[in-house]
Amino acid sequence: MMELRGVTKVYQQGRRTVHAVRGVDLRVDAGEYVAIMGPSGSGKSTLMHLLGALDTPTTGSALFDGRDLRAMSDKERSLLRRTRVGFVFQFFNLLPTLTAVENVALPLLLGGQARQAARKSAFDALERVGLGDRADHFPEEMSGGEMQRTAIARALISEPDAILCDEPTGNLDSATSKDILSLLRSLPEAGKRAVVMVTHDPLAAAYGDRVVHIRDGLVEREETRRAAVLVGQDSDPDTHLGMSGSES
Amino acid sequence: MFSLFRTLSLRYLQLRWGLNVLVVLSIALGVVVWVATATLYESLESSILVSINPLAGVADLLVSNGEVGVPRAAEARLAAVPGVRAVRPFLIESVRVVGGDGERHPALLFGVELPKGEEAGGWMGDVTVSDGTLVNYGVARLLKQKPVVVGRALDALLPQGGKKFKILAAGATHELTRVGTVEAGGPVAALGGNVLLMECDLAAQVVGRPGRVSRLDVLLEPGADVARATAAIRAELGAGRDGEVRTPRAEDDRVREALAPLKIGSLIVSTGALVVGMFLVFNTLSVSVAERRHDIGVLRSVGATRDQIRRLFQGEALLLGLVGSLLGIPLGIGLARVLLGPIGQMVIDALGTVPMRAPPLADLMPTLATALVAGVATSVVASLLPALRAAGEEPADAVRRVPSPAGLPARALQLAACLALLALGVFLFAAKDHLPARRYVVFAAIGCVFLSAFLAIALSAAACARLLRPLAQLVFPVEGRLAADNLVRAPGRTGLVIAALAACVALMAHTAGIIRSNEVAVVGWLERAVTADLVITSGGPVSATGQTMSMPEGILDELAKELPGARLVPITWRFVEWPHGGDDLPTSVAALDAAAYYDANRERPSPRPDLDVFRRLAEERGTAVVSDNFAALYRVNVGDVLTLRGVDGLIRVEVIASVEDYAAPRGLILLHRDHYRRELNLTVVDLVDVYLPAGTDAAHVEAARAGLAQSSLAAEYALVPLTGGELREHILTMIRRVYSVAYLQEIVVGLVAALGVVAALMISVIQRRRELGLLRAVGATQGQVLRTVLFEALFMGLIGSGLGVLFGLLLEWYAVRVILFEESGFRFPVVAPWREAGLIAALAVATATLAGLMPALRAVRLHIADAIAYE
Repeated sequence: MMELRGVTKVYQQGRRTVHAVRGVDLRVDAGEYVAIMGPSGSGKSTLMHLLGALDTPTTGSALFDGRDLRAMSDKERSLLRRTRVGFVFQFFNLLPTLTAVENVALPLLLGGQARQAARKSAFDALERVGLGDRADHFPEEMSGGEMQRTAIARALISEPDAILCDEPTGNLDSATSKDILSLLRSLPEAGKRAVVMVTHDPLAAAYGDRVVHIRDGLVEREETRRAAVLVGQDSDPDTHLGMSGSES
Repeated sequence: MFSLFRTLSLRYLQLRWGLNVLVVLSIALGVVVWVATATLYESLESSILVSINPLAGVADLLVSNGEVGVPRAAEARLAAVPGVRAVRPFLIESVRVVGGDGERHPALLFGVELPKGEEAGGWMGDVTVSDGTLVNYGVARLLKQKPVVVGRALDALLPQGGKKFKILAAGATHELTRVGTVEAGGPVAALGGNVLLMECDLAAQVVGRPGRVSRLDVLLEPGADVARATAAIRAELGAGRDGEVRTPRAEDDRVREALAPLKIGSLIVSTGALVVGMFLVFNTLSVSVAERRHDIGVLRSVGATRDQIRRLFQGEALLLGLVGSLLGIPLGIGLARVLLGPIGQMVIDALGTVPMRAPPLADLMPTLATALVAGVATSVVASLLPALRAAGEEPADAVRRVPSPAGLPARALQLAACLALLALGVFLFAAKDHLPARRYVVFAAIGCVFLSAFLAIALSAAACARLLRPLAQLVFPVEGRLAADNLVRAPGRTGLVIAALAACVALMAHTAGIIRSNEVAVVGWLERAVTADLVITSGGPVSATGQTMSMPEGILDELAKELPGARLVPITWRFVEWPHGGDDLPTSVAALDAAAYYDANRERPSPRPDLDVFRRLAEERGTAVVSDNFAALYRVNVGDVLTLRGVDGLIRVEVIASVEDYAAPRGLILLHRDHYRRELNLTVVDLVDVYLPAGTDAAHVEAARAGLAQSSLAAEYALVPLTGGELREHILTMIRRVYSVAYLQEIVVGLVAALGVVAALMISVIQRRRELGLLRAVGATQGQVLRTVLFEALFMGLIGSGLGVLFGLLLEWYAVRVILFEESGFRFPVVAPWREAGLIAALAVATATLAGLMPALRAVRLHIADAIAYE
């Protein structure tokens, strides 16, 4: 569903040229839960942005459902993000001026849906992540876990094909992290929705079906969870970290 | 989109209500100035149009001949011209009516053919004279009682209990008999109700111009060819010998053309207020974009298109512009109503027009609609760049908080616009002689340079702050340094506000400079040329055309008795038509006793060097002296022959000299009165210069003035004798009053700029929340934080004022040497108004610093832990 072919990404940071991604091939299929793991500055967030059409590669191709993102207009990429991709960020990225339900309704409002209808759908999405009772609260009135659940509800509201998470537990305590990771783990639907999670935390990465290790803008290696672990989605990765790996 | 706007934008506008209130107020103030200025201008124009050509709109063609008048005999000849349905004689004269309180009230005397029967509601507008009044009129005429119909408003002022009352007209007192009253409606109502209606011939006798009328109003047959009728009438008038024929619209256009500089000037200041407001809106929205950059990234990551982001920001600007405009319109109308009284009185004093009236709301609709559109457009245009910038954000960069690019494109654009405007201004100035509408080109040139300077100041604000930094650091090592640093690193936020302050200071300094230049030139001229010990007028102190009344020539003998040994120089002012450049120009003519002027001045200790030209003027018939501004304005040289329209046709005079004179804004022709007594119908005197015997000291001059002022002669003719010093002071006061309106407009521009300072500093506090919190965390006291913000405001004021004064002087040079010269031919010296500029600059600095107080207090109240928290 999402594929990077020989992708590089170079950008300017002041006077410094940053080679964030130096030639990556990566494929994520529908129904997969992929963790991208690497230290800070390794290029993992850039990789996620490229997968989710938040950014375009300097060279190489980023494909979504076979379509080259660079060949798409900005408007087409916006529509893709609105309807087929959901993002979950480390710092939640909720708009502080909006309540939880309004934050969740944003993609629908952007799509031109009537306010009341959008609110109703948003409320249902909040119910789905267990936050129905916090719908009219502003972000500043919520805990970190609640804010991240709201962000997940927002990512889910358009029933997207892919959910991309950038350090979703990086700003949460361990108990809340576990809740959020379990919630994310439940999102991939076989043959339908993919989840990509960027993290530097091995415990979080262990929730993935596949772990892609990134270092200095290159894929260092990939690991796949043992088949035994994949039996039953509710198995706890904290107690089982067995992986089979391959160098890239 | 509306749901999105309601959810996102309205919430944000609420959150930053303080800043948005400032934006709304900026737009509102701009609209207030626009509406008030336009309303007052419309009122002034209408008042002047009505005063110069009352009831002109009810005729198809008008025949006039300046103040000399048209011979009544032409009426019958014109009535026989094919296509002409009727010809109506019309006389108008400003008179004073002696009221029941003994005061002399200004009124307009109309000499008309009194309407009868079916005509009653016709050509004289809505004036209806009852049958009873007409009967009374007939009876009084038979009894030779000078019957008159009185406007109802004036009637209330007349002595009660009798029909007789007195008026002063053309220097003489006349007793009239009131035979009835009229309610003035329609076009006549515009005259203010203080009207007297008489039969035309009788009125002509009363005003001392028997056989002549001010105007012949021509009504054409329905469907008549106006051009053909005009040509036939012109031929019948002896190719202009007896007067010139024009349509009412052409007559009005001549007045409007004369008023154009005033209109352009007010429009420039009104637009200036909106432009300053526009830059402040731009500033605030730019900062809003920067502040909401991360939010924009979030929106883009959840699928907002660039177009949606752009429309969100433009929608906010539109809403703020709309609210500001809707607020500004009623305030502008209110301000105009408040100012109508004092400005109206000033105009009556200076120009002697009918009272200015507030235009009906329906007439103001086009102005109000324009103001609404201008206010909203200002806001929307100001939002264009910030909105495009917001829409242009790369979602990945915005969401990751990657710093924005250095802003080079915006600054490069600003620099390019600055240079382009400068080049356009210079081009317009250089090519003004070769372009159509030269007058407008001259204004457009300075408008372009002004905008260019505005942008240049905004660009150079950081450099100025850098220059100030060492001094700031020396005086207040920490707070001064931080404040200066903040200005240096945020030119985008502060540059335009500093430019707005500078623009305001520049406008005010340039007005002060023009006043000083006027004063220096006029006072110098008064000292050199107006050498009389006393200047006597009737009805009021000397003014351009306003409240003074003519005096009979016989008063000279009586003055000679009252002031034995004095030399008297009578002067009569006339507006005479001068055919020039294919049109008739109403031109000021001063008919003076040049011989008496020469003799009186020859005896003075240091007579003016060009005195001999007055001897020649008196001795050589057919000669004229023109003012320097007349010569410059119309490119008239010594030896040229001028042709003026007199009572019996054209008068030809040869220009023998040009002299310094600032009495008439479009130039003056001086003639010896004895040569043209009949041709210009000089039966009255408007002003008498009195030269007391040589060696009379100031105390005796004052004694002579006081003695004359208390004499029965002064009481009878309402004489106002002024000494030379009093005359100078009176004229200086008039100059200052004329410019006071400009000051008022500029103060409002200053208010908008002050709002800008508040906005810029509030933005600064919002943006530097974390930095200010850190300062407090490492031990800065509340006082130090307060001073940091206040110093920033102070520096903005200092830089804005300094640059404003410099630019104001350049602006003054242009206004004095180019615009005033183009409009009046006056060559005033450019005098730097250092004292006034210093005061204005000090006020601007104080205002800016005070404006910083609110943001500074906000900074002080920051909660340290919240301020330094990351998210």
